[in-house]
Parts: sequence; C-alpha cells; structure tokens
Amino acid sequence: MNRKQEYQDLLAELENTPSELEYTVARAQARAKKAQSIRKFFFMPASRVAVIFIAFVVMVNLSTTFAMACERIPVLRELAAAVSFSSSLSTAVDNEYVQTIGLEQTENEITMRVEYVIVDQKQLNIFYTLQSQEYFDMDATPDIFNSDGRGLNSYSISANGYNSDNGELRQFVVDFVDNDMPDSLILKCRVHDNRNLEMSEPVSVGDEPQELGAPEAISTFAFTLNFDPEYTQQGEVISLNQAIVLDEQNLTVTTVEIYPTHIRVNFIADEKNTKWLKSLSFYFINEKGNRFDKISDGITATGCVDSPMMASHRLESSFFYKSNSLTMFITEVVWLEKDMERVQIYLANGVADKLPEGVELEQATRKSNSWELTFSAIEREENALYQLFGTTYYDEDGNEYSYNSWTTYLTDYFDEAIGKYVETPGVFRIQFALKDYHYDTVYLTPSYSRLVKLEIPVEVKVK
Amino acid sequence: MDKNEFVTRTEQIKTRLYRTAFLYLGSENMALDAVDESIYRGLLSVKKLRQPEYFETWITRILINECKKELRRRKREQPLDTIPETAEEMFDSLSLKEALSRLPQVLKEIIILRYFTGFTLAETAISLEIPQGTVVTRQRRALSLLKLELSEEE
Repeated sequence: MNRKQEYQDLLAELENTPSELEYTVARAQARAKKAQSIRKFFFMPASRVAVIFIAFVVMVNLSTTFAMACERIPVLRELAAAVSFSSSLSTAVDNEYVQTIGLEQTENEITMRVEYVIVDQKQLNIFYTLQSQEYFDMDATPDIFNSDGRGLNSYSISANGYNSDNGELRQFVVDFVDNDMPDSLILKCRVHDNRNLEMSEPVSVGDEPQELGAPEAISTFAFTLNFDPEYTQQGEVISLNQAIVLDEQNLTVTTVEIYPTHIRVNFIADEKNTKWLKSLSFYFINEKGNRFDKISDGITATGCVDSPMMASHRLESSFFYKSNSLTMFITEVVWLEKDMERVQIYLANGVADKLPEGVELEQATRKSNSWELTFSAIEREENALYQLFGTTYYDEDGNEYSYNSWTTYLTDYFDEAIGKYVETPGVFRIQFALKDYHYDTVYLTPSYSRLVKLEIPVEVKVK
Repeated sequence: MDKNEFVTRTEQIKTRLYRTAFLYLGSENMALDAVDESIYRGLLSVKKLRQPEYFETWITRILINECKKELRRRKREQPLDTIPETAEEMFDSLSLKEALSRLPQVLKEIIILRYFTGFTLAETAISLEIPQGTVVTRQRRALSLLKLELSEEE
C-alpha cells in the first residue's frame, strides 16, 4: 500500500467517532453551570526552548568524565544534565565547583526550591525547581536585589528552562558586567502558570509582532542567597596591553579575565579606525592542546556605553585546565563601518541607500499608521540567526524612535501570489514594525556592515 | 461571541476536534476527555473572543494545550516513544499511522493541523503561535520523513 492510500484510509478511519462525542457540548454546558470559580487570564512569554533539552541528554551521554563525576556525586546527576549545553559549567560540575543552597518556600500550592549555585566573581548560575500538585506548566520571572533590599546596577538576568516539568531543574543566569559578585543577594521570583494561555486574545494573520503583557503571578518568593567567598573570589585578570591589527584596523587587547564560568577578552580601539568592532570568531589553545571556543550559550560579547563598539568578547572557560600557556587565535571579525551607523531606507519606494553585506530589503508595507519591514540576510552558519539592526531608528529630523519586538524566521516560505513554496537555502528573514510612523523615509541602525575572514589568523600570546 | 453561537459552531466542528485530539494522543478515551475539557474551557471564556472569525483556531489552540498537558502527564509516567529526526530510515518501515504517532511533536502537530484538521498555513501558524515560515519548514521536514507527498489541496 502506498502512503497516499494509507493517508486516505486513515482519514476514513478517523470518521468513526465514539458515541460519547455526540453529547460533548451538552456536558460542557452542564459543567459550566456548576462552575463557581473565577478564572484569571494572562499572556505568557513566547519563547519556548524545548530543543535545548535534547542537546542536554546527548551531551551528557557522550561525556565520560562527566558521567564519572556524576557517579561520585549522585546528587549532581541532574545538575550535570541541566548544564551540559555549556562546556564551562560542565567542567565546573566535573570539578565539584558547586555550592549547595537547599532553600525551599511554599506559597499558594507552589513550592520553589533553590538547589545549587555555580558562582564566581562575575557570574551567578542559580539552579532551582518548581513543584505543585495544582499547576503543571509554571514559569518564574526573576529579579535580584542587594541583601538590604536595594536594587543592583549593571547586571543582566536571564532564565533557561521554559516548558520544564514539575520538579525539573531550571536555571537563572545573573551576569555582572563591571561590578563584582556581592557576598549575598536576594532573589525574588514571580511564579505564574501557563495553563490559561489559551484564554489570550488570538493574534490575526499579518499583524505586526505583538508585545506580550506580564503574566499574573500566583506565588512570589524571596530567597536570601549567601555565597561562599571561596567561590565569589575566583577569577584571574591578566594585563596584556598588546596592540594588534585586524583588517587594517588598530586595536589593543587590554586584559583577559578568566573565571570558572567564562573568559572575557577586552579590547580598546584606535580613534582613527574607520570601523567599529562588533563580533569576533576566535579561540584559545593551551599547551596541552585544549581549545576554548566562543561561548555556546548566553552572552557572547558586551558593548560600550559611548560607542557602537563591542569591547568585551567571551569564550568558554579554561579555568579548571590549569594552563601554563594560553594563546588566542582570531579568525574572523565583524565590523560596523562608521559611515553606516545609520542607513537611510526609502520606505515608499521600498529601497535602501546602503545595507549590511548580505542583507536585502524584501518588503516595506504601509499598514494604516505603521510600516512593516522585511529584510533577508545570509546565514553565517547553518540555523544561526543574528540581529541585523538595533532597535533604535530615526526620522529625517533626527528624532529617535524604537521598536521592542521582531520576528525572525528561516528559509522557505509559501508565496501566496504564485501558489508555491519559495526555497531560499542559507537565508533567514527578519520582520519588524515601525509603529505610528508616518514618514516615507527612516534611518535604521545596522548591527554590523561586513564580516571579514582573516587569511592568516591573528595570534596573541595570553600567557 | 455569545454562548449560543459558541454552542452552534462547536457542534459543527466537534468531529474535527476529536480527530485532532485522537492524532495527538492516540487514544479514544483520552481524546474524548481532551475535547470535553477544551469545550468546557472554551465555554467559560467565550466572551473574551471578540473576533468570531478566529473561533476555530482559538478553540483548536485550547484543545492543543489540553493535549499537551495530557502528554506531559503521560511523559512523567512513561517516556514517550518518539523517533529522532535523524533516524529517517526508521520511519520507512512503519505504517503511516505509526510513523505519524512517532514523529517528534513539533513535526507531528503540523501534519495533524494541516492534513487532518484541514487548517491553512496561516491558521496552523496562529494555532501553534509560530511564524508561517516555521510551519512551512516543519511541514516539509515532516512530509519528507513520512515519505508522504501531498499537495496543498489534500
């Protein structure tokens, strides 16, 4: 039997429905009459990262040393799975570089338990679980404060593990850019349940990306986390101040910071340069041949307040390898030419003055008071999507506007006009809306203009 | 939309809802429970549906969430037996029904909605809250794994 015939047969089989289906609506009406509870409705974050969990399992199974570490410390087995996407954190667990916290609170039928932290001078990874008999699809929104309750400055916080099951280990990552890790801090979490997702308003086809409201919290928790100074002091800063030339641009590698969770390589640029440094492909190698590549998850670089330059670039950590010698190799560099900090787009004509390399304006469509823009760009790596423009844009008088959400999608699409799939391998698209923007011209702020592969990698002796 | 219109329109599509749930869950009883629960939940919140033209994708989204909840509950009790996308040849030896049930969920739900529920690309994208481009990519991948060649009309 061929597949088409099987399909037809399956369709026919599905026409046979159980007799109970006849009264399903009547049953719902009867239940609704009895229902007395008031339900609350909310939106939820759009990002869901189930794919990551597949990677976890595969990487843990492949790592022999990791499996051995887990045998030594059975309690860390699930932690090993949770961090297996990160070679730095995996190595930290392998070296038993984990502080057990073991704090638990319960509110409104939800129990939150902070199990472990992996912390150093600059980064804090918090591993926790959510448990409930009442709720099965919970997520937590975190925030951190000083131990006296005041707000903290210059940090980022992100959450991994959306769509985790009850009791499954989840993770928050707190990252300090300039400041060092405090001895203790307060973690506050608002926990919501996603099961009322379906109650949200439907989003119509072709609408501009919707901004989602904050979900209503069922439980709010506050944990005071005290860190062992043995962990928060960990980190090594190597002063280099070595001048290098990349693609005819002069840069200085000022310092290299090596922490258990990551490496930071810091640069300053010559003012006479014609391009801003935006991104690097680079790695370290030690005397034993161990290679430390670009960070696999999380922050890969941080920028400057006063320029478009990305001044600090990150690698996976070499901390536990006790390297006597480390050498950096830079193989690719992504620039933003200084005369492309703003590029003009003629919206009414659908053309652009100048765009980043490999980027094309596919469509500019006026939708009542707004413009919807679609750009295509060439993938640098398979399935690797990146930002094309900053979220700030300007009109001809220099007035500043911003957008807060965009949609990125890969390759093929169905062209309704010709009724066929259009295949564009190696290309992704990004779409965003300029809301309440009445003008026919806009100035966008590209995130880069050009990628340069270096014929001979630039080599820097770190130590 | 008022409750009377909800009842009328739900009666018209209940077979289609059941078919969707059955393919998600692979069990008559579970599918019936999911349909019952979805219609009940839809009835409670029908006043929030201000655009009746989205009724079908809206109620289907409720149903999909119910099915996913059931799958999560079941996963806790016994791991789901899906075949990874990389093991393409394993799908060839299975019947279409079996192969469909063992597709990774993100691919399976595209096939269910497109070819068994009868949704368009746009309706599928709304129901699953993913971009149309993602629907297209997953649909191509799923059809390829299933060795199923279907046109847009089928």
